[in-house]
Amino acid sequence: MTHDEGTTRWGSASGWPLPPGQPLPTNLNVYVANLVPKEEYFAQGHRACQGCGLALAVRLALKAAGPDVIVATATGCLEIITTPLPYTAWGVPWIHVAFENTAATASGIEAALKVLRRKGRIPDRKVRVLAFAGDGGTADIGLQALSGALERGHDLTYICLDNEAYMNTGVQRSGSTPFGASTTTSPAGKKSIGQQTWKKPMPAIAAAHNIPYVATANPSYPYDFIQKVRRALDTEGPAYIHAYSACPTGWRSATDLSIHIGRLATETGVFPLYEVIEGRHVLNYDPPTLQPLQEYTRLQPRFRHLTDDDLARIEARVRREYDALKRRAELDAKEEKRLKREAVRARRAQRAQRTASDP
Amino acid sequence: MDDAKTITITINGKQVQTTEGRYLLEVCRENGVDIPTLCHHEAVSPAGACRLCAVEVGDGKGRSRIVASCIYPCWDGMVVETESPRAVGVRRLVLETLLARAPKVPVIRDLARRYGIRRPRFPLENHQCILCGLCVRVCSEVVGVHALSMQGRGAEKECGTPYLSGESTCIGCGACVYVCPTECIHMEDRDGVRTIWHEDAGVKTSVRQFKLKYCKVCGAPLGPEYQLEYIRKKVGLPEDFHDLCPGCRATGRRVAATT
Repeated sequence: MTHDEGTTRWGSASGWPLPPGQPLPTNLNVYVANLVPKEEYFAQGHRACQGCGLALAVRLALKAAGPDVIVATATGCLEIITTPLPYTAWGVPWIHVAFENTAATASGIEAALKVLRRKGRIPDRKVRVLAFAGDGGTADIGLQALSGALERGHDLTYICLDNEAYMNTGVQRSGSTPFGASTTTSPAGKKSIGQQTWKKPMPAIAAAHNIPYVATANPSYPYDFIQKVRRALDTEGPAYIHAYSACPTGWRSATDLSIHIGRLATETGVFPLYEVIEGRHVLNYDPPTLQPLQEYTRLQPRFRHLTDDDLARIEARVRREYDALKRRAELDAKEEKRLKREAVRARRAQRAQRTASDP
Repeated sequence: MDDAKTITITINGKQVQTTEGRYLLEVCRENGVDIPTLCHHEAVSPAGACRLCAVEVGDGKGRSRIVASCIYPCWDGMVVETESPRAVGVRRLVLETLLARAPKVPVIRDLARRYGIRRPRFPLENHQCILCGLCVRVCSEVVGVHALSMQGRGAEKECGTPYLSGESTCIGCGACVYVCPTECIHMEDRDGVRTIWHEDAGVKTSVRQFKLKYCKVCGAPLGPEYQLEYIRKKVGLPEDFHDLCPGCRATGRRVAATT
């Protein structure tokens, strides 16, 4: 028997809803809600703040992964809220490691599983490895470990839960904090606009490692989220998912608006949903018109000091980046089509040659 | 309150406590025993259609038999072997027939590889649909519109909407597309129209098109008109409820509250 394909998971092995690279179907969320796995691997009663986007993301990711998974988590909110001694919220094997080495630990787990399987110490079935880290643990502190793991090509899925600052220790800015956001170490005031640098493009950095699967996901779009995690886990080799996670505590936003803010992030173009499959960009959700950025920022008091001029400047940059991404996706789709056509033509020519030389 | 009797059964030599009458497949999966299935889904009633979940059940004293675990209720003292040569042999035979029917479906190919089947001994066909009926059960039990059914008998059996033409009770929700294990039901949203069809052996049947509805303010797609109307009637929502997307509705409410 070779590695099994995780048959305890429902649905197909290739990870429905759609073959990779197709746009998101609209409004799947009415009946399909009854069809996602009912088993909970992330127990209720954990210590997350009200309106936490991270808890939702982890719950959905674990539902997508099923029971055959080992999770490694960096220091951060996720570790604090799930494991206050002597309790745990994890229904799957879980290991907490230091801030910087989530990816290294996950690659170690993957290598160990491989060896144990080869030696026959554990049953020969596929157990997947999942790593969670915050934006600080990914973009700043854990970047070199992540880069190493991606480069070595371990079969693991790394999910960055991006709440755009070090929320666990009291809202300090990180590399992933967007321009203009006020945090405790980048406070807005007379001489400062808040965070003075632009958000580090982590998905692009991961994609630059030429790994088979990179995606951005948003728990405000739960079916897309589940689908992407499943696709990442089914990918042979490293996969990286950048998950948006709203943080009412750090963003000073209303706790009942987290899902709404998440949707707005995608609809304003701040956090576009896209995949990079084998270097090919696919835009999953392209809203007919991008909402004005102000819709997004006015719900978050971390942006409240921004003037209309500042907002216009930020919006211009957001639009530019969004357009560049869209163009890239269109180009890649065109290129894909061209390659397919060429392959068909080459096959046809080969066949013709064979019939010509073969009397 | 709970009058179900607690019983003890043995799965692969391990004693397990459960309640009487629960289906064996659920109990096995709860205890980490992996049994492959194609037609099973926890949201709908089991049907025993694909027969891949075959296991060997006996009383531990001698005679044993092969059952489909997804529709077999547990009884006290039963001894279950999921990986005995007999059970695996039956599963291999089932897989061989499935592979012969649908040799191009990735899920079935993966399973066949796992059970070491190279080439089935039966003549190959070119189907995608394995007639498991999962879409039929989801349509009636989860969605509740009964648009899909099995038709014909034996070798003529087919899955689809009545007479394999576009069914008027279908609301275009896509739940069948989501559950189909072999991906033979397709859905495509293009230019404001959603198309759903069943494709088997290269033949498209049950094709139905739906007009999509969009948010009046931001233009975000909401879903097929039929589905929104169905939900609106069922839940008793006002007629203009689906004019706006949830986001714009929330924004409108907040604007109304602050002014």
